[in-house]
Amino acid sequence: MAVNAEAVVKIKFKKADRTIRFDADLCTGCGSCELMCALFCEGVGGPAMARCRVERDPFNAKYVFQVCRQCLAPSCYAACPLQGKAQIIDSDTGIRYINEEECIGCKKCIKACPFDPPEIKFNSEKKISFTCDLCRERPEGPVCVEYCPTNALKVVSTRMEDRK
Amino acid sequence: MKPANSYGWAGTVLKIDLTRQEIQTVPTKMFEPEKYIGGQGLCNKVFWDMGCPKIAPLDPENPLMISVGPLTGIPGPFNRAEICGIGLQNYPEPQFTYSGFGGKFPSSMKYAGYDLMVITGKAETPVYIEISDNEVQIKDATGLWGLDLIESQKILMEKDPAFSVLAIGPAGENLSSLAVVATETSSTAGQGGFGAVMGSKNLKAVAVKGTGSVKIAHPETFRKIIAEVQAKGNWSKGAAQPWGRQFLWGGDQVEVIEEHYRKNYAGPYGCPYQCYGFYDVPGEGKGAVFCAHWWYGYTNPNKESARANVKASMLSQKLGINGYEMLTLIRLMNDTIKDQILTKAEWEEIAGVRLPEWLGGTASEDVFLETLLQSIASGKSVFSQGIKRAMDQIAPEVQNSEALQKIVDIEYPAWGYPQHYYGWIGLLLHVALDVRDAGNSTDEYLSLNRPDNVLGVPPEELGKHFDVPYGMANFAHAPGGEEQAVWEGVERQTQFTLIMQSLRNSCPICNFASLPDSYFFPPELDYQVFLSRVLSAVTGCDLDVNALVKIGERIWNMRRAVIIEFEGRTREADRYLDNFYDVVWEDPHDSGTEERLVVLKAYVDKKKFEALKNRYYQLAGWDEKTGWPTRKKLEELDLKDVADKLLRDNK
Repeated sequence: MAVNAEAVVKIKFKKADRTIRFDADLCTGCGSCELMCALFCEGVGGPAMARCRVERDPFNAKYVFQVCRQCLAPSCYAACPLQGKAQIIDSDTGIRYINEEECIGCKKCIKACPFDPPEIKFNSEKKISFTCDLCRERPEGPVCVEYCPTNALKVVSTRMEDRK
Repeated sequence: MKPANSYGWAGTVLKIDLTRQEIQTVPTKMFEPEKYIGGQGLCNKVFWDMGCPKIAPLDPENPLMISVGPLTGIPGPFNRAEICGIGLQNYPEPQFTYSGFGGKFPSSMKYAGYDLMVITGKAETPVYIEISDNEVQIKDATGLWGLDLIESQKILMEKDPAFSVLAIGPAGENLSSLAVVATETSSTAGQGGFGAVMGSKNLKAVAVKGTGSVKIAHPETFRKIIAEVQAKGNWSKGAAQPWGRQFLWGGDQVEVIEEHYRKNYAGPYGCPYQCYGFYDVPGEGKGAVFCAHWWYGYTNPNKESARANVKASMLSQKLGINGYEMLTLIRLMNDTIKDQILTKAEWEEIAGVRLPEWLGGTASEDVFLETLLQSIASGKSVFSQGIKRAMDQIAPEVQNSEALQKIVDIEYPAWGYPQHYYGWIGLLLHVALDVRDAGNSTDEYLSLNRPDNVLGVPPEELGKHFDVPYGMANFAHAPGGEEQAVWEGVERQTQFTLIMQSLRNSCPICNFASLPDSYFFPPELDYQVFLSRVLSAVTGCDLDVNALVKIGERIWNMRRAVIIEFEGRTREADRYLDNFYDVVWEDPHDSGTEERLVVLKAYVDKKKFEALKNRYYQLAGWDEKTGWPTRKKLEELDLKDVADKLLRDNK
């Protein structure tokens, strides 16, 4: 009998109800996304503290926007010793995020992230992990999307009923 | 103003002596950054403190300074750096000059922790400098020497794509005064010949990466300012200006180039404008292109030459050649052949290349471009020493000597830099007072004087707001023309621009983001207000517009002091070549209409020009006889120590 993998995952983890869609054809690699992210989320200038990043190849004008994928089966969540308190999956939206108040900085989520480099970073001053939460509490939505000058980034719904 | 070093500035100046292979760091605060900001302002101060030594451009002791400012590294049109030192493009003598560039290098340098790099000395064999935060190494570049500017960067970035690389091409290695310093494909410090300065040090490249961030004193305030600008729709792709984003001249060719070769847009890191086009010519290369890079098509916009035009741009980038000088060279070839001042055969002998069909020759455009550019980059062409110097050498030996010298002098009316909208009277004065062309301030004069305006702001409103004369009348039209030039009050336009230019090159902010008529109007977003607010939010220094303007004026006066100290500048040297005055000459000019390029006849009356200088010196608080800042002015700008040294003989 065929197993519906998506159905199994759905039972265990609610899927994030939105995602950021990147259009490589529109991106000019300016990095406004990562700089605005660091400014709005951490109050500093520079990509080191940004939650998203741009892989740049200025010689071919090829750029790739990278950010937490909001995995269906998040290994970061699974690895967290304070699951549900530090690593959280929002019960309404399904957005995976880190509660900075509770994070103990064990870095297990960073090690568990399947991507290289990991999409979770470590703030060595605050001694906690941080990652993109899709600006879940920001009424205007993700700051990277709002300030992308070329409209290469968009927030799209992942809900079946919104798909056309 | 409270001392500022914890926010905005990175806090460290890096000194590298290539002869002794010594690396040293000094706190930025030693150079009073709150008084001089960064970029050009900081470089002036460092050179002043060195005693403005009379060094030759290719002397190992010539300090090659690369400087960013407190705003570099934050989001917005702020990611520029300034290169300063003794340049060899300047004419008749080398000068302490400057040139700016963008790309990601300026931000990376800041993230690595540096406000300024001062590179002196000469390595025995080719080297590059590798900087990874506080780890600075001088490394062997023997394998890179001879490679083109793009290839060299790629090799260094293969080690780690996080590196930003500033490099020179063969033109720099072979000490041509047309040699540029560049990063990525089109972010270029084009003027001054700094590529040759770098080459003379046996320095092929600087690779830098950093893991730090720029600390912002009041992030909430800065976010608010950004949100306001965003709400006005000012920050968006292509909003700044149109002339980089597509081929500027020549109707039909635009279509061909856009359709076949333009693949994307590009621009400096963090900048929302992304004002360069990105092109791909199969077999020739890929790269971003800005207006000056279209040097070949300026005189030859034929549809059939579209490919050659893009090729010329790509090849000059790879070799590291200043496109703006090339533009003038091709224009000189075209104009002198057309006006029968020089023949095709004479040009072929002078340049050592065969001319293409459109210049009356038989060579293919590919062969013409390849031979011309390679010979310049080799350092062996007569043009390798700069077009003005080459033509001065050639002119006495040709039959139409006088006519040739005249056209050359009008193309290169001052300081060895090609003409650029010299018909604007305000700009005319600016260039005479400076050591080079008006560079990134050219756009400001265009903006202050263009017949239309992008946002539909009535000229009289702008005039009132900025207290500077505004409008077409400030153009040196030929006598008897429909509009007569108005010279009265134009000195205010020049002073305004010189002050703002000093700030732009020091904070830094891109000039396209700070054109008076278009982008920060109405007054609440006037760019002086905007800049003072951003600078205050980032650095924590409390600066209103008056304080900001005072800093700009200080930086300009400090630069003037450096110019005086270095070359003994006097009022007499604030001038043009004699052939430029009292004759009618053509000034190609962006009309602001769909027709784009119009050629206006211009005329500079020497008497009126000298009277304008008098009015400027009075306005600036400078001595009318010497053209030097007075003690009163320098003390007013908190430059008593500068006054004591500069005016030591007439205390």
